[in-house]
Amino acid sequence: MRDEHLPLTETTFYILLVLNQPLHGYAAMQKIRQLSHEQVKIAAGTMYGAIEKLLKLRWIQEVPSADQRRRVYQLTDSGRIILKLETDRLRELSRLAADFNY
Amino acid sequence: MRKYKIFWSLATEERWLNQVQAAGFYLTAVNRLLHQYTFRQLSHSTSFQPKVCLDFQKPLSWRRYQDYCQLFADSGWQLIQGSRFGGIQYFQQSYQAADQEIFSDEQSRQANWRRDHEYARRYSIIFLSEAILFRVTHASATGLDLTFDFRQWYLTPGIWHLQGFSFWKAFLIETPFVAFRNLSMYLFLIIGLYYLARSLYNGGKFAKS
Repeated sequence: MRDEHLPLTETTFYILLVLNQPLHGYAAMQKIRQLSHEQVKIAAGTMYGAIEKLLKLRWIQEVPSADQRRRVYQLTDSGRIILKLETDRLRELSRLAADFNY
Repeated sequence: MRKYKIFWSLATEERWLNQVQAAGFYLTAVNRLLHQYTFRQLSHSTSFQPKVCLDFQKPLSWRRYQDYCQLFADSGWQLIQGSRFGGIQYFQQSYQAADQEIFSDEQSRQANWRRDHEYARRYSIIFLSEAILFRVTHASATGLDLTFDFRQWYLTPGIWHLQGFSFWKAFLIETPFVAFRNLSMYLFLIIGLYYLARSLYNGGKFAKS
């Protein structure tokens, strides 16, 4: 039985991926932009909403930081599990596509 | 330049603000209560025409709100008007290279409209039931009479038969109570209907999740 939260949106996937290290929202946006070669540009309102949602799902958590103005987040254990499940799903898709010579 | 305008949705408000801005102005202040928008003329030396974007937020803690504003500021959006107690947050693009939008996917844009819609619906229920409550308590004191006769609003027995000083004394003492009882009812009714219209107008604009 597949987890009800899968598949993840591209935005969610990227955020979880970059939050393997502790980052604040804007740093995560910058990092995603860089990792995706400017293909994925998450805007501020979308980022804020996504963070709220991921905090509620407990896939990320706030971690203490020296920055007074920005909250810093990191992946939780359940976040890691969901990221693993999604990666397995994508890997399977990719393998399947390869069978069809793509 | 000051303009007064009432909007029924975030999308139409945002569109209008950007139309005004495109004519060579920029938004400097918003008074939500008066529906008043203050614009200033862009200096002729600048070719940069900033964009305004509206985000609807629920009440946030002080710390979360600061983090929220900082995230927008880092991304090139300056807060023109907003409050941590919720409602519309007005953001102005602060430099040319900044993002053109505050939402980069359709889901989050619709989630924004949905927040506004739910807030409007909740407030229409609160204000309309207040108005009804006022009407009912008033009716139970005077009998249910729907004619608009302000003399009925005064409950002092025989007030309209009093003469001279005793009339004015009774009249002036009771007027604040009358105003509170009746005008607040109409005020609540108007505000309630505004939010009802807003929630209905917004309702057809996006797909329900």
